[in-house]
Amino acid sequence: MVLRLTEGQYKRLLSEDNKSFLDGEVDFRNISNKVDRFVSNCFEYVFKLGKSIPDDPPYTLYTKLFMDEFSLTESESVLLSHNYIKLNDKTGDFKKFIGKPLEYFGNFSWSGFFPVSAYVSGEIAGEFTGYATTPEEFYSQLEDGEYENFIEKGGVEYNDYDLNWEYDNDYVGDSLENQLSGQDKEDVIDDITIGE
Amino acid sequence: MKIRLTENQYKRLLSEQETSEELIDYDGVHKKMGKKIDKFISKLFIHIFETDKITPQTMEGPYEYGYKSLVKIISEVGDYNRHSSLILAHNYIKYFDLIKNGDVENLIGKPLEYYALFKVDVPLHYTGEVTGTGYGSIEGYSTSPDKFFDQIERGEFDINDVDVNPEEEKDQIYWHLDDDVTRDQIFNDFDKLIDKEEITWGQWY
Repeated sequence: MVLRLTEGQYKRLLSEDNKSFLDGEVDFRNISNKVDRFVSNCFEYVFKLGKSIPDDPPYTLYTKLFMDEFSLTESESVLLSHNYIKLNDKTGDFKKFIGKPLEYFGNFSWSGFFPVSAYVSGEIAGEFTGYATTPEEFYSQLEDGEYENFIEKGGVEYNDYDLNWEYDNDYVGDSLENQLSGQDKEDVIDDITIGE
Repeated sequence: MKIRLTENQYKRLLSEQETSEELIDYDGVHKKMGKKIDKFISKLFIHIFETDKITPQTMEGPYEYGYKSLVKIISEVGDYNRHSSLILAHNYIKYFDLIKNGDVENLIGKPLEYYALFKVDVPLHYTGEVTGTGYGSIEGYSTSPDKFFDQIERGEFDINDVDVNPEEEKDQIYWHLDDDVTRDQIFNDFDKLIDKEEITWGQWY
């Protein structure tokens, strides 16, 4: 059968993008942006494995399965896992979705400043003092870990390289709120990038 | 009455005297107090017991809460300096059974035991918390940048790859003594850390 197209239809078909997601931002090697025969077969295979499904399954439940069974990349597997959950109507029939768009699902990132803290340890010269009747008795007290007081002499000597920094979780939320409130939402969204 | 001593007795008495004086007169401020409890001290002790009801039990606990009040009373009532008062306070406890019985006669002549603050140098371990600002990214899985923005607002994200530059924050370290580590080190390296010969008298405070 031969179809006759108008010039407009022809141009639209030429420009139609069956491959990428997010207006051409993301492209995958093994999957297109629609459910095709390969994807529907993958979904049906996963369904037949009969994996017990919780009410609200996380995509991570299926990611490794897609990677191992179909040799897909992690990003492809994450996207298919998300869409498998979305399209699974528990009939096991996924061919009816062929041609339907796949929803993008992937890692996004946004860069900003974060409060961090670290613990650092050091030594300071000092003296222990305690009350006793003789130096020998004081020595015995120290052996028993008993002392009255300690007095610092000088400053702390420490190394500040190789510190084990940790996010200061108590302040991350406040810091983020401050940074977001100082910018237009659209500017922040423009700065959001697609992660690995 | 004259007593004739052998050479050994004479030497022993000389050395006893020297040792006692060295202790009692360590800092040269105990001239008023002898080496033994005299009539004045015994009456002072009994007076303090009858007036202030201080017992060894009421003095239990750290120095600040125990000895300090007794030292102050002895210093004020007996007009002793604070170091002498500390020695007397220690001996108040030592001879408390005689004191509570009002046994003046048996108290008189009892030797006063030296008691003072000693000190020794050791390394103290400190731990501090240093704060800074890191530049990095937050990440999350989503279907679009708009949805991810909403997730950020809800606090649903992971923090990733923070590059920290603490240079500006170095001076703001809040140090505190790590008592456990210090005690552990003293316990584990006692012989290496503490030389008995290096123990000295502390500064009275």
